[in-house]
Amino acid sequence: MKAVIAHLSGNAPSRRDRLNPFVILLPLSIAILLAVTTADFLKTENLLNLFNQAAPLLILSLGLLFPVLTGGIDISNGALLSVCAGFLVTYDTGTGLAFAGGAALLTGILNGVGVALLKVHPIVMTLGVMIIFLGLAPIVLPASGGDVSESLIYLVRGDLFGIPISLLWCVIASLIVWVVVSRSAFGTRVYAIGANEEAVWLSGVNSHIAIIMCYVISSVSAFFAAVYIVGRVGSSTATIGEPLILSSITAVAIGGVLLSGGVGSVGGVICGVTALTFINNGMNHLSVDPFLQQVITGCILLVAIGFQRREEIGV
Amino acid sequence: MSSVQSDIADKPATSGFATVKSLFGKIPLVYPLFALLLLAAYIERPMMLAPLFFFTIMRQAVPLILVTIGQSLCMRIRSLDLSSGGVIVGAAYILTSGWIQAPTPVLIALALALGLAVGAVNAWFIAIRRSSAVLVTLATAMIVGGTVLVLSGILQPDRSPQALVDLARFRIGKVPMLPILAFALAGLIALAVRSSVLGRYIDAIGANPRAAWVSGLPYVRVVFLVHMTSGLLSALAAMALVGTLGKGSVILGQDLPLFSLAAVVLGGVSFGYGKGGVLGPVFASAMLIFLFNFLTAYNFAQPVRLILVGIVILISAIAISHRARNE
Repeated sequence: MKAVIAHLSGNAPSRRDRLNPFVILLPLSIAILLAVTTADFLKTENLLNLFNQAAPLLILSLGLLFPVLTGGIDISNGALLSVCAGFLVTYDTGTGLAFAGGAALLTGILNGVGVALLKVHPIVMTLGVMIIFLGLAPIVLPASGGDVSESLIYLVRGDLFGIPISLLWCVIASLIVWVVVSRSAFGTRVYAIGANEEAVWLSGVNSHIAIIMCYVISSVSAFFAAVYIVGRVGSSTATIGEPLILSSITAVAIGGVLLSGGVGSVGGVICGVTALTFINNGMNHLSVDPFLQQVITGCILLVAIGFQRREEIGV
Repeated sequence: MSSVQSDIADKPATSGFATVKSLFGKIPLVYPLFALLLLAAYIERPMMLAPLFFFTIMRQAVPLILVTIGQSLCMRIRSLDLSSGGVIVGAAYILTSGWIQAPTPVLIALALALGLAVGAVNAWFIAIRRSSAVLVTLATAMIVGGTVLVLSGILQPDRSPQALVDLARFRIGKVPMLPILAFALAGLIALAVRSSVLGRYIDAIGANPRAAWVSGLPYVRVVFLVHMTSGLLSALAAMALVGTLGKGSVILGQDLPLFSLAAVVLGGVSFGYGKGGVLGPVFASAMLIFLFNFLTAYNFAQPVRLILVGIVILISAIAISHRARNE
């Protein structure tokens, strides 16, 4: 309780993971509310379905965590996801994976070089790349549809020893990112760059390479999210990734990751994605108008960021 | 003194090339680019420069010009406004749905009030709560846009008020009035920002928000003023859109926030960097719309046009960043 009061009054000690009570209590309180108000929320079928809904958003948000921790942002990954999905449903599995993976790698390098070496503002850099991909997506996949191989479908819809593979996707992605962010020298470097890039550079660390790597990870996460969505849906459209741009930024923000950099954690992102997934799932159960869901999500985002007063002023 | 003299003596005489280079080094990239585009149009598609055609294209550019002015002011104080899409949809709904039965001037006042209110909410979160401008303006856009979508399930947007249609289509000879009014408004705002104390505050906050805050500059007041102006201009853009189209829609102007960002960068303004002034982004907006029409004249499909615009944005952003670092 003391921690909550200290947090709300702005006197909470500064922590780099920012796993404050608000971040943890939000999905918990939504889950309790939904368990009380809806009959189906706690059913096993629904809970397993939640992982299906959450997985692509979680993968994309975990990737987005890296550039955001350095004080940047990547708004190109939704459009990149559409392009990758287009490659995957247009070509055979091997060629599609090669094209999509190559596109993701090149995009990450382009964004990273633009931000780290050419010093273009991350929003502007990734906006330019996003507009290019918004144009490229309908060229790669002119009409909705496409073919997806059985192996790719099994990779998403199948199960392993009775455990749904979608759950494994979520667990494996979270574990890998947690190890990289919290238990590796690279992760420490990323936090340090977000806190003060100049100081990191002056202390002899090549921050440019680390920043480029962060954007590469973000783009590669868009590739994996595309693989997951294509395997789950069995087809694609040229705009399939667009809604995920806003959702991933929202999830990261609700998860207490500061857009000014240096503060955030995998746990926070998981909480943010869980809260958003619960909201969408719960409102579907309550038959809430989908447009009203947008209003409610906007209000929650506003309240979430309003509670997290920053030291920094700016974008 | 002697060292100063020796400095002067050592300095080589400025060559003609260096003078031209220094002159062009100070001009935002958009002006030579726009001049090149107009030259290309003059050679390849001279019809596009005929007054009737040219000013019709400029009329298309008015909503983007208005949103871009607001965006450029926000970016100069290291903020951002992605809520303009929501404000445009909201204002257009007020003007065209008949949800509020009132005379046109009252509807216009309400549409403008919506823009001001959204701007004030954005500013409160950004200045007082120090929230991220990206997230705050994204959230307000979601709230206003979502509310309109919910309301449109009950009452669809319909025809625009006749007064707005008449204003949008009013011409003096072959020249439509709307772009003239937009450029006049841009000129006035440019003059106000350039010659007033407010302009100095904007530059100071853009250079270092924390220093401006600590040194007692009215940071909160400036952020409120800038964001409310941006909201107001978005509402005006909605009026221009519904006047030109003759009807409202729930997807009106959805791409304007992102293209305004692109126009601001092309116009020589970036976060905390205002060398392009107000007019640079305005000309960049006009250039982007002209470029779209030029590419359409060559039968380029929409996806190819987007790719080309994206490449232009990236090249301009890199050039501006390079110039800012050199300065």
